[in-house]
Amino acid sequence: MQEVRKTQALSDLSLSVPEGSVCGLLGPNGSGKTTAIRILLGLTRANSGNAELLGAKVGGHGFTNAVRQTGSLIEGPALYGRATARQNMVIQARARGLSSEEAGIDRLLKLGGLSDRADTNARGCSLVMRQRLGLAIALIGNPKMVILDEPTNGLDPSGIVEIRGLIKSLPQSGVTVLVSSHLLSEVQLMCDRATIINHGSVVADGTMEEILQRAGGDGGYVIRVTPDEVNKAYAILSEVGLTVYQMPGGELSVQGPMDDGSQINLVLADSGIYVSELRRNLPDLERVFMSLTHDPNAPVT
Amino acid sequence: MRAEFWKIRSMPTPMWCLVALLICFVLGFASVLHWGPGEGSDAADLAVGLPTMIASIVFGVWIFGVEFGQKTLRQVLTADPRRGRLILNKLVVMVVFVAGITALLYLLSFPLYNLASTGQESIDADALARAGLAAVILNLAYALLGFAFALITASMAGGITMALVFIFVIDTVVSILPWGLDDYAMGPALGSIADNVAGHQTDFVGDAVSQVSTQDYVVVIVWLVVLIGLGSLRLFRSEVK
Repeated sequence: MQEVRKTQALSDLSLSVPEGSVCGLLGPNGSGKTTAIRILLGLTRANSGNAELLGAKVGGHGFTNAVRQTGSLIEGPALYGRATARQNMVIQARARGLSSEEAGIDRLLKLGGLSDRADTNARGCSLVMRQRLGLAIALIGNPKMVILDEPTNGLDPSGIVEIRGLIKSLPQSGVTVLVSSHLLSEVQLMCDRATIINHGSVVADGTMEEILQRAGGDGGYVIRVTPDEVNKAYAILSEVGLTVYQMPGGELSVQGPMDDGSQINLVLADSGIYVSELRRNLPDLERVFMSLTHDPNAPVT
Repeated sequence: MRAEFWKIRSMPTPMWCLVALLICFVLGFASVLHWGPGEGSDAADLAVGLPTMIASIVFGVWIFGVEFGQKTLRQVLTADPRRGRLILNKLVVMVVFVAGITALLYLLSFPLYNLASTGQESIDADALARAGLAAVILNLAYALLGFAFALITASMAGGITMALVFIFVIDTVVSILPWGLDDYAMGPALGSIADNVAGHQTDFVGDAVSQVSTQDYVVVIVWLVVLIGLGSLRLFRSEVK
């Protein structure tokens, strides 16, 4: 349990990340995500309670080894600005008791796409390069686990795609990833699992599919027809007892008792309307997140 | 510890400190060439002793201050979370560097300044060795002071400012306190130790040097232990940003 100025930041937070998965840690600002990560890594001390990292109690026996087997990138990369990318990596490797060869620095520079900028000062690197360098540093020494706090913060769309690709590829080399992010769509795209915390407690935990199903339930289907057939399709589907909503761009959201989407297709085809697109209307993470974390009594600002 | 050596290799502050020391050393050589070596270890004291003292304060602050200034402490502690070990590693590296560089420059000053003073009076090897030892002690004390204030203020700039405030203001005030409290000032105690090791008859203001006492050593050690202890306590208890 962590209390900050008489405010309890975390309470009974239990979080387990299956090996080889990419798990998202979500929560509104001030929900305790960063505090949880800091406590796990020993950067902040909990006022009471226990925390364990890779089975070792924080601050207890085996914790140093657990931290050494964990790479991390918290609130942006912490780099020595006047040192080069390679020197930053060597310093971190040495701090972990590894030589450059043991740490695989050349391989990591290549993985992070930094081979040709290895001798550039860190402060001369662009934000995305610094972020890639931070990730490469987090991977020094083949960690069992990598903890990333807002890894795509401040990046442009192409930078986000780059970092996302890098993170998604980590489980292939046996790395388990815990990633905290405000960008819900990013988490949805890069994570297999998610844990949502609010006011310091877990409010949802499971695979991404379970999380999405949990609050959203069956969202039915979305169909697209030609613009001049939208009204006709609306009327036909309403007539057979389905609930239909018009969506922007000529799309219709269809909900109601049906086995699968082919029934919609059949009903419309019988009336001479052919859908150009039919897909499951899965709830997105944003909706789930809002339903789980939104406080209806919160003042509207 | 190897990481600390790498930081020294990679960062500009230690490099510029070294460059400044070398410039002063060369200026000392030129001065000896032009004006002669002076009495005893005067030339080395001026060209090596004083610059290494200033560099020691800067280096003492930098070795921990760099982590606060660059906000890299969290990266350091996620490589090895043992904060006590980190303090110890940095202390050892700092002591090795400060003592090593000071001793090396004094050692080099003997043949080189002697070479520069050819045709004039030669440098007293014994006086130079004693002055070198005194400078090592003095520089280590000032480096430790800088180290302590970097930890206490958790800042590079704060560490340098507070170290200078301590040396020139706080310690000076303590040294003029009545009722025997002036005996507990660190500067005069450290000066007395250094002057006795160097074999000086008078201090830098021309007063006769008194015999060093056990109390002088105790005062210096207690000040350093208390300040480093306070700084360490802050590091142990604080949340790392």
